Amino acid sequence: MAKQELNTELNLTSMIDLMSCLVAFMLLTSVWVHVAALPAAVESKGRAPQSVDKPKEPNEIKITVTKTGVKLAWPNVKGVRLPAFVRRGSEGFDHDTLSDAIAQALEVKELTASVTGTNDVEYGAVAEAIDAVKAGGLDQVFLLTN
Amino acid sequence: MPLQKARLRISDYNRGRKSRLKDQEKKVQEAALSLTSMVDMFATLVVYLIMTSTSLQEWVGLASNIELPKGRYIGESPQKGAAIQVTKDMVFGELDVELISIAQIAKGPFSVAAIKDYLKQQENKNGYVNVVADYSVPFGVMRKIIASCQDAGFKNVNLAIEPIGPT
Repeated sequence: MAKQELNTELNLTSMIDLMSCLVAFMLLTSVWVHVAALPAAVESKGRAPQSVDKPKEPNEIKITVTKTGVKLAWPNVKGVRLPAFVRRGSEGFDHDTLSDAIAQALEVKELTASVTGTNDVEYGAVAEAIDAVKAGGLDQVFLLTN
Repeated sequence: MPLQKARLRISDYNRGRKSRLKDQEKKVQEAALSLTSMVDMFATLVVYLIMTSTSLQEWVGLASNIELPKGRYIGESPQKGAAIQVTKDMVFGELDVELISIAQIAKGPFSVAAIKDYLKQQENKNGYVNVVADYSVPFGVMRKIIASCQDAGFKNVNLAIEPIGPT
């Protein structure tokens, strides 16, 4: 009598059903917008409002975001030519110019930056200025609210 | 001789039966689908979705009508903690807890009591509050919101941005 062959095929039906439900559920509940964090220390209480023209600390860059562009007040960084104003175009201000200037200045001197904005400017423009400063390699950024 | 023809042996009968069975087997066509690659694809997709969904929802939720500022800075994702959601016209605590309108903040004092009271009830992790705000909110309003966070004991902020390029 011939030996009966053993059926080794797996029944995958229920597994595929489960997988399909799981994929559908996860696709529906997923958040497709990536969100990153931009950490910043906040300075406001106990400090007088700072002048736009002059940094308070000897190694502090004072950055003020306005409707027309970004004003920069630099500490004394010898041998590096740094922009005092980065103009804002239709697609926002030039991040690369700001990031490059900060990277150049950091090669010569240790710096901190304080960022603020005028009341009428969009919050997003201020956040993008902080991002440009951090992208230039400067981690110590203060957000001024006074 | 006709008598001999009629005498069939049992083996002859079996042979005939076997050939009939073979013919029947030939008629049955196999219709099995190969599902291996489909199962592989599903498994990969499930693993990918599990990994991305946990990393995205780890530190902050995102209200539906907020357009985040874009940025290139890629730092470590902070811990999930106290969060403020600021849309174009309203400030929320959690995604469905309305705190105060933007118009009220603009007219009101520098420290916003509604935000301060809400944050005092939240757990303070390392003094950071996660701020998820719309690009177009005036900075004059945002500085009041952030100052109120300071009043509630949150000294620093994590500003939510939408990363440009690879993350």
